[in-house]
Formats: sequence, C-alpha cells, structure tokens
Amino acid sequence: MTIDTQTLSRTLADKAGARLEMWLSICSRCGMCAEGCHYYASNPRPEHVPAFRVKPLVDLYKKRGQVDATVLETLRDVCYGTCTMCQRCTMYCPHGIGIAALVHAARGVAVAMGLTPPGLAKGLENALEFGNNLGVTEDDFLETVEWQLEELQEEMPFARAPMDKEGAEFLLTFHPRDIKFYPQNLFNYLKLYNAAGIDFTMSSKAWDSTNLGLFAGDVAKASRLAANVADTAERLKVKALITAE
Amino acid sequence: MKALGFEAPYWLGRKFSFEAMPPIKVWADCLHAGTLKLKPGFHAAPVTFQDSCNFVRNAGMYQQSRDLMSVVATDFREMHPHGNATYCCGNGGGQGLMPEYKQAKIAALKAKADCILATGAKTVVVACHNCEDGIHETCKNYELDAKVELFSAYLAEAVDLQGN
Amino acid sequence: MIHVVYNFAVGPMVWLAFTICITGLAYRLIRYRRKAVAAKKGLPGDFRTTWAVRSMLYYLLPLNRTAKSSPWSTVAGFALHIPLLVVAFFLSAHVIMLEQSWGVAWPTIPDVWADVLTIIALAALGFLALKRLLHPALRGLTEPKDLLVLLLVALPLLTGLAAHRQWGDYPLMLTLHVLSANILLMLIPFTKLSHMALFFVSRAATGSDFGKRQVGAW
Repeated sequence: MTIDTQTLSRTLADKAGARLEMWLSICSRCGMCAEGCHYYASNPRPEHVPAFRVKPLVDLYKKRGQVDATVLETLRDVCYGTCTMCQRCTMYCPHGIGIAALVHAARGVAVAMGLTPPGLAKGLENALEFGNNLGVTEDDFLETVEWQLEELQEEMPFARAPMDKEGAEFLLTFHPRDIKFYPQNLFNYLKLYNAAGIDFTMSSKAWDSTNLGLFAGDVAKASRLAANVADTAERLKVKALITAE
Repeated sequence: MKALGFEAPYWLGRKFSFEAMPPIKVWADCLHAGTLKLKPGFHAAPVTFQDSCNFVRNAGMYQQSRDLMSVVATDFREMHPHGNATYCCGNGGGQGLMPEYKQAKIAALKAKADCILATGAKTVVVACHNCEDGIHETCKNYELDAKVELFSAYLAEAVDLQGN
Repeated sequence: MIHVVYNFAVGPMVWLAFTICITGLAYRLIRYRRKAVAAKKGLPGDFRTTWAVRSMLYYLLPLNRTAKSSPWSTVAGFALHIPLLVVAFFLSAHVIMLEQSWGVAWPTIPDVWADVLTIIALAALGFLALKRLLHPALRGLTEPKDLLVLLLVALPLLTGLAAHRQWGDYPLMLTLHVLSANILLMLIPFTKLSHMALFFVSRAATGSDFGKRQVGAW
C-alpha cells in the first residue's frame, strides 16, 4: 500500500483540535485506565490498556505523517479491533482524558486513508443511499408499519401509527433491523407509545437514527446521515425525536 | 443517541429546533405522569439489566431505567459493577459489523459473562440493539443460561391494556 | 568554577526557567482556548461550571473510582504531589531566597518536615518507577521517557535533600539542586508535566461533558 502523505497530513491537521492536542500531550500512560476496560478485565495484556490505543496516534503526530503502511494498519487494528468507545475508561482516568474521542479521531484517520473496515463501509453506503443501513426501501417500510399496526389493533383497537404528520410532539425513529428482521420490535414500540397516549409521528423518509458514520469515525458521512434525520424532524416541527432504542 | 443528541450539532454547526430523547426517558416520563400503565410485578423470573453506554453512561438514564424495572420486575438483580460504571456489552463502536475483530470481541466478553453469571438472572434486559447482540453473544459463548430481551419488549408485554 | 555556575543558576537561569515555564503554559492554555472556540462553530455555550468544578474536586481529593480501583497508585500520586508543592512553596530556604530578592515572604514549614516530605515524595517516585518496570501490562505501555520524567522530578528532590543533610559536597549538591529544578521548570510546558495546568482544563472539559448528561465523571 502506498500512502497518500498529503491526505494524511491534512487529516492529522484537521483532527488536531483543542482536546486532542491536550489529551495526547498529558496522557502519562499511568495505566489506571486499565481498570475501566472490559478488554483488559477479560484479558489483561498491555495492548488492552486504553492508553495503549492512543499510541499509534501519538506516533503519527510525532512523525508528522511520515510513516509506512504498517503504522497505519496497526492504527486501524488497534482502534477498530480493541475498543467499543464505551467511555468507561474516562471515568478511571485521573486526568479525565476522553480516550474514546481519541480512538474516534484515530478511526477518522483510518477512514481518510481508505482503511474503513468493509462491514462498516458497506453499512454506511446503504445508509447514504437508502436512508437506513440495511437498505430497506420506503415501500417495505410503509408496508411493515401497516402490517404491525393491524396486528396491534387486534388487541388495541384504538392504536394509530401516524406517518409524516406535521406538528406532532414526538418523532419516532428506529434501528433498521426493527423493520427488516424483527418487526415485533416495531409492534412493541407502537404498543408502548399508543398505550402512553403520546402525540407521535413517524417519517417515511428518515426513520433510521443510527449512525454508522459515528462508529466508523467518518465525520463527513456521519454529518450527512444526522442532517437527514435532523432536517426531517425540523420540517415536521416535532418537539423531540425519540432515538432508536 | 450519541450522534443526534450530542455530536451532530457540532458537526453541522447549528442548534436543532428539537431535542433528541432516549426512549427510556419517554417511557419513564409517561410512567411518572401516570399515562403509561404497566402491570406491577408482571415478570417474576430473576432479571438483570445491561446499562448501555449510550443511554446510561452517556445520556444519564440510570434512574429512569430502574424506575421502570422496579415496577414490572419482582426479582430484579443488579450486576456488579452496574449503572454508569457497568462493563460494556462488548458490541459497541461498530464491533457488530467488523467480523475481522470478532475473536478479540468474544474474548473481551468474559468480564460481562462473569457479571451476569453472578446475578443468577435468567433474563438480561437490554436497552440497545448493539447490547442485544453483545449480550446474546456473551450468553452463547460463555454458556450462560439466560435469555436476552429488549427493554421495549419487556415493557410492552407488561402494558396494562385495561388501565390505559 | 562551581560558584560561577551557582551564581548563574540562581540568577539569570531562574528567571529564564520561570519565564519559559509560565509563558509556555500560558501559550498552551491560549492555544487550547482558541481551538476550543473554533470547534464550537458559534453555537451557544453549554459549559456546566458546577460539574466541571466537581470533576476537579473529586480528583483533587481521593473521592473517585480510581482511588478505589488503583489504591496504591492513588496513594503514590498524593504522596508525590503534596510534598512536592508544599516543599517547593514553604521550605524556609526557598522563602528566604524570595524574600531577599523580592521582599515578600510567608510562613514556612520546619526543615525536619521538609526532609520527611521529600523522602515520602522520593518513595512515591520509586513506587511509580517500580510499578512501571514490574507490572506486566504497564511495562508494555512504558516508554523510556516515562521513566526519564520521573527521574527529572526526582533529581531536584534528591539533590535538595542531600544539600540540606550535607551529604556529599555541599556547594556541588546545591548547584545541582538549582540546576535540576530549573531544567524541570523549563521542561514543564513541553512534556506531560504540562498536566500541571492542563489537568484542570481536561477535568473541567470532561466534567462538563458528563455533567450535561447528569453523570459524574468520577
């Protein structure tokens, strides 16, 4: 693999925000974050100490991006392969370093260098094309809602599932698999919200509030996904958006 | 939740006219307002709750989740650690979509498996789809005799249709 | 010869050391502020001051998860920082020097206390160094500079104690003490010792962030 050093140094400069610079420079590698990590708790090895995940990034900045491909591959494997960005370690860091945010930035570097893990890349592609990461079409979505509403009406005759209703108080959103694989989940949501009697609506266009761009560390794509849902919520003038469970 | 609730305004450089809300908050608010009626003690089997990083550690839904659980479950058992300090389900940050790192993920689930086992719970209620997979894999790989149920399903079963 | 070095070390070099330390840290704080403002993209501020202050207090006092999960390292941390600051600011020799040049003074601690505190701090440094070398996971994380920085902090303590106790050659020890302390001051802004100022910034940022969700970051 040849490295596009220009892209790399531009990305490093972009990512060098206030907190990143500060955190990279004050992490003392004291190792107390180890207690916070389930990777470490399950398998106490040096590479499972959260502070270790910061190392490839520190390396990149120190060498100003003048590195070979193995460094980037290590960065990818460390940042995607040994972290769930759960932020538990931050609660154990005496300095309060947001290690998840640093891992996120490192993932962003991997993305810019074309190293996004294929599974995430595929989901992202779907999300951008269909508005949801499993590639459910609008017709399928509407049909599934109708089907689950009918089922629900058998036990709750008054149940409703308003679609694209302006001015509702809440906008319901889902995880795409609630629609594609587990429509029972959709049934449960409709049951709870109908039982509670809240004024809600759904959107036929933007109903997936998950964001694979966030996981991948791809801020540009994450922003587009978030904007899709946010614009819809604002157009429907809802007071609150209920995120996927 | 993390994307729309916390990060997106800074990505996009604008404040939204709406608020992003975790489902747990809506359910708990409706419960407290008395509009959502749940059958008290509907679930008798020993149960524990996986605190999701996004809804509990990052969105502060600890108390709300316990308020809901305490109504519908008669034998609720906490994991140790739990709440804001709970161990991750192991499936966050896109781990579910990266089969190349699956072995490391499963090895890291041991911590969670020990926590669940110690509670003796037969059901683990999860409030997040990533957790659902993570805990499911935990139970499968560490041979725990517990089923995984989404919070929404757990609550929906207990909805009191007569009362609502 | 040693007197020439000593006079330089307690004269111009002290000025240089403090200037570098203070302007260096100030530069880092200003740079942080500038970048943080840019990242906000003009959105209304939502900094949670109460949560930020609590976040600092919970770690300035041993009232946090880390104190429970890593009790020995926490003890070592306090045993290093408290003596370091108390001796630096309240040792009679330090205060007298300040009084001679600037005419300001404040109460001091008995010299015996200073000796004991210094030994405690050195023991803490020894513990931290040994933990780095012996703890299997931490050893894998340690880089040579992590040990060097401990040495950097240990040197002024060690030479200061030696000078006061009249171990070895007094003028030499005193000169080494002032030199090593100056070097330590000058390196603060450029090493992880910058946590001297940035600890508060980092804890405030994280405390406020967690506080927005009503979760304590401790």
